[in-house]
Amino acid sequence: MRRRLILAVLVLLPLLASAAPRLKVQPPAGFAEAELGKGAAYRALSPEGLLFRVRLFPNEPEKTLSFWSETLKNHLVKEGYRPNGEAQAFQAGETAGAAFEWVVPYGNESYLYLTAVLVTGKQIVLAEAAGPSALFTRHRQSLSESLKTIRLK
Amino acid sequence: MRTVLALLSLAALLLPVTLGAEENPLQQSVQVGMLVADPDQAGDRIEGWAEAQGGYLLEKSSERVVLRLPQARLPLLRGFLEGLSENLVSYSPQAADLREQLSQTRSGLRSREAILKRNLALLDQADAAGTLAIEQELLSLIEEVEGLKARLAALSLDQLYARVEIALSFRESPLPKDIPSSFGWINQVSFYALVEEGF
Repeated sequence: MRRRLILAVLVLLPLLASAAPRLKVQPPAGFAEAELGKGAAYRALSPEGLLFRVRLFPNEPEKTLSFWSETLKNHLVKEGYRPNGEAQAFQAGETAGAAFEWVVPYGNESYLYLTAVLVTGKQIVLAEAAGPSALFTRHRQSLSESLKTIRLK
Repeated sequence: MRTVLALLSLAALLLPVTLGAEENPLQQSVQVGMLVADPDQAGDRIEGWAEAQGGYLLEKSSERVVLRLPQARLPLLRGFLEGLSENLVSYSPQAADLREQLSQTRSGLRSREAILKRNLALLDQADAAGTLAIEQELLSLIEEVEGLKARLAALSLDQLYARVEIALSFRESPLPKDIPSSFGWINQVSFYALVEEGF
């Protein structure tokens, strides 16, 4: 009985592993990949401490990118985040994404906060980065390039 | 002394006045008020843009930027500033007609140059007392001619370059607050949680 159980676990383990989504991201130029924190599927830090984080959430209820990006935008606006320009559409392989930048007061500075959403079947991918506006602006291009490398398998 | 005066007078008469686009009699200026996320960064971007358009910076601080921009590039200014600001609070273009000032300055210059030439001719015929009086008159005329030429050059610059004054301000916005969403994952999206996780 015990042997059967072990055998079953051995057979099921690879199946379970393949069922879990695997995330691949190229870090933004000049960033180093960091240990995964609570709930993060990917983390990278710039030398100044600007954090780029990617998280995965179940696409429940199953909706499109258009729905979730609008929902997120409306929710953040309602919470008091100020948009810094229009949403930027981007393409990560075959998956379309939408990125928003927000201006947030923090301490005595203005910070910029990036939220980018991709929807791939059963998963919502949320990428975030935030930093003082001057620092964020320096890394904006590399963050944008990194978003395009997100792959979920 | 006579030779020195004669040379100074000749120099004042001969020095050219650079006149700009005389077909444009207007001096344009724009007063702008705008809200930006980061005034220093906005100032840097405005300076870079103005230089790329052939303009130049007169003053830059966290509160305001003053620059000169070729008048031909002025139509591009509003679009650039709208893209840069969170809110373009005010945009007030103004124009002043320079024709009267140009005309007055030019005629003043012509009349003084004519008197200068006449006095120079008299200098050789004057006695000692007369020479002194003419010399003083010549010095005063040279000063006036140079002043008028400088004024004409400044007016010419105003014809070519618009003056742009931009007041920069940063609006202290209220801090975003947590409002629950019906969708669980959206409740986990928070700037503050992210920055506290950094470093």
